[in-house]
Amino acid sequence: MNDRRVEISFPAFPVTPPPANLPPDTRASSGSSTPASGWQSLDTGLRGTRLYRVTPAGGGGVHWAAAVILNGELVHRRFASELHARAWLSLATEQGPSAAPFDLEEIRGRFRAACAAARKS
Amino acid sequence: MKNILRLSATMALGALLATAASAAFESLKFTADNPLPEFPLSLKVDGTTKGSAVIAVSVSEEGRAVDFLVLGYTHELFAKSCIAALKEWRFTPARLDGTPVAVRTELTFDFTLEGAVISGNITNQFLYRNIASMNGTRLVYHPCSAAEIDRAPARIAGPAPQYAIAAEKDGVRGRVEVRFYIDEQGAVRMPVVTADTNPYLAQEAVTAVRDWRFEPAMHHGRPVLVAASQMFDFGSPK
Repeated sequence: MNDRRVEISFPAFPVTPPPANLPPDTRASSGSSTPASGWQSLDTGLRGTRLYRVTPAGGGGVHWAAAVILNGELVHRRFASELHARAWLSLATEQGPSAAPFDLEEIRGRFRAACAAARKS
Repeated sequence: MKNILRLSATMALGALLATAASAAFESLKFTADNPLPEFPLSLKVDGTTKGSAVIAVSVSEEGRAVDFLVLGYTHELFAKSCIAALKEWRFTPARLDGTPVAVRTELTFDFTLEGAVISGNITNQFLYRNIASMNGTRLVYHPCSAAEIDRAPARIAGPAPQYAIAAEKDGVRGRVEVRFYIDEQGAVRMPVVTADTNPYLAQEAVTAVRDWRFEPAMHHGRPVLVAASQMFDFGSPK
């Protein structure tokens, strides 16, 4: 591997919500009044937590995104079932900051795949 | 003659391991009965005995290859053969916390008259290794690195990501890096999130980038394929 530049990196793009004095239902070019179509906020009954039912815009399975703010950091995970999401939120808030995992998930991230070999038979 | 596809262990290496430890990521897997690309007959007749192609593949949550991007080849016919085969492939989809997720992978196909060897690379591994030849043969097509281009691509159209007032109030903010290719027509190809801080922000960032259009990068007066990345800063600075 060498040190030459390979990828073109564009300057950081700041994204802010629309001005707060817009009517709540206004959908401006850079924001909307709810997190997104397909993101349904659910009540958790736990202070400092968020739970969303997510229906991907491009299709695919429904999942649940759970988030909790601990020590000023947003910690989140996604789950295949609402029950697991609620259990994780409950555990995260009970155990405190030291036991909560810090999530760096890659939804469409890089990875190495399998190796395959083809042979004549 | 029947080709036998033999699979070895799936590898999830490097930074992904740390991710997998907390987010339970399971890598994409090939299905054993996938058809293999044929060695192009016309090249055999011409006396060609080996060659290579590199293809980026987008695999859906259902395990189907839904998009392809040719990243390199020693002869165009090798790439065409690969894509013809890939259209029939089935995958066991990658999973994140048990949920199937769409992923992009880059596959290298090394052809010999005896068969093909297929391997997966991490994104942009192809570029970072500065490969000028593969399988002992010079590449006649490959992406240009940033250092090689005469003119950088320039964004000419496309929306800013959506960002909800409620999301910011909820503390959903942070940086999202979207990595993608810009093809010779200036279209964004295969945007992926590599280090997102929140699934909602990742979705909004990728959705926006998909619709961006660019003046393509130029190399020696011709438009070329390049890899690019865009960082988004969601939310007001703390």
